[in-house]
Amino acid sequence: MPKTKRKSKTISPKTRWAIKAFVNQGYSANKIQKKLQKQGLGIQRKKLLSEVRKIKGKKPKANRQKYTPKKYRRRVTPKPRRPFYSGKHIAVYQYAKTWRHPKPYSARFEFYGNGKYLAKAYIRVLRGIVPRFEDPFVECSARDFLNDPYKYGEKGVWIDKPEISS
Amino acid sequence: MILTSTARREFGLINPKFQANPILGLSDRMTVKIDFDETDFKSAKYWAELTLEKFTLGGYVMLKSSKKCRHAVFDRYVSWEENLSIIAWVAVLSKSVPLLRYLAMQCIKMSSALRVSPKGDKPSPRIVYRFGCQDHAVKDFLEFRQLIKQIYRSL
Repeated sequence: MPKTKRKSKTISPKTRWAIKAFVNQGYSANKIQKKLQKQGLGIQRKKLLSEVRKIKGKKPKANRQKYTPKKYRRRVTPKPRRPFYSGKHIAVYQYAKTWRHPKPYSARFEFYGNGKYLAKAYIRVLRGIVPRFEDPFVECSARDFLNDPYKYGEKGVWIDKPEISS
Repeated sequence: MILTSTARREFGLINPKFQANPILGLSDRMTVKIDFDETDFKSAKYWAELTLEKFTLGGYVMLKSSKKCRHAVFDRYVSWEENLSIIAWVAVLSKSVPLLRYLAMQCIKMSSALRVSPKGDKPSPRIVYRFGCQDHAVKDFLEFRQLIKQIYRSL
């Protein structure tokens, strides 16, 4: 099987110059592609079309979703992102104890941030970080907590509600 | 479906690296959230509807957290002061001691929170009733609740 030359990801200045010249001469995209291939400057059709559009000064096609088959529409649709601070916090609370303070006390972390950081912060908390006895209610960004967990808490264990006997 | 802590322990789903699972909840200041402890569905619904009418909160969703506990989340966003005033109004009128205790805790923490994950043998709260508009605070609450559930499930 003959070896095919691998196409580069970016358009070389030479190819760009050639495309510009062909567009100015009024050639169609098909003709430009054939001419480039003959000269050994072939590029992906998608890239060629976007380059031609750029040279002609045309705006990108509107309603991109409308002209995409339904099964590919999810790829084209931009995913709405949750704002970094939506005002909602995730509260992680339970009783905790540390070696400094063996008597159980009510402790609580309140994290804000996006899902990825919130999940990571929760896992970090589960691995034995509890708020200090002196400051049992901590409110912070999940990303800041992940950067330096010992700034907001210390090593300890989460325990179930202690039974109070009188 | 989210399993309770006991069930997760029985099935070996709890990671032995972690000693005890702290509870996960949702907390914010702008959504009116009321915790009806030791209240049956009929009374919880009565107080929720009375609050809805009095403060024109748009709509609400009722969640069942355990046999005698219900949570109500209202649809209109309010300020923190108004939020406290609404909870206090319900607590005083209904003469509910658990609700007064809940209000006191919200004042201490400066934000109102509701549980989302299972707690001991209690499962995570589930929706039992919806009424009125659900497009604003209720929608955001349910979306964020879903995110917390995903975090809990991923362990």
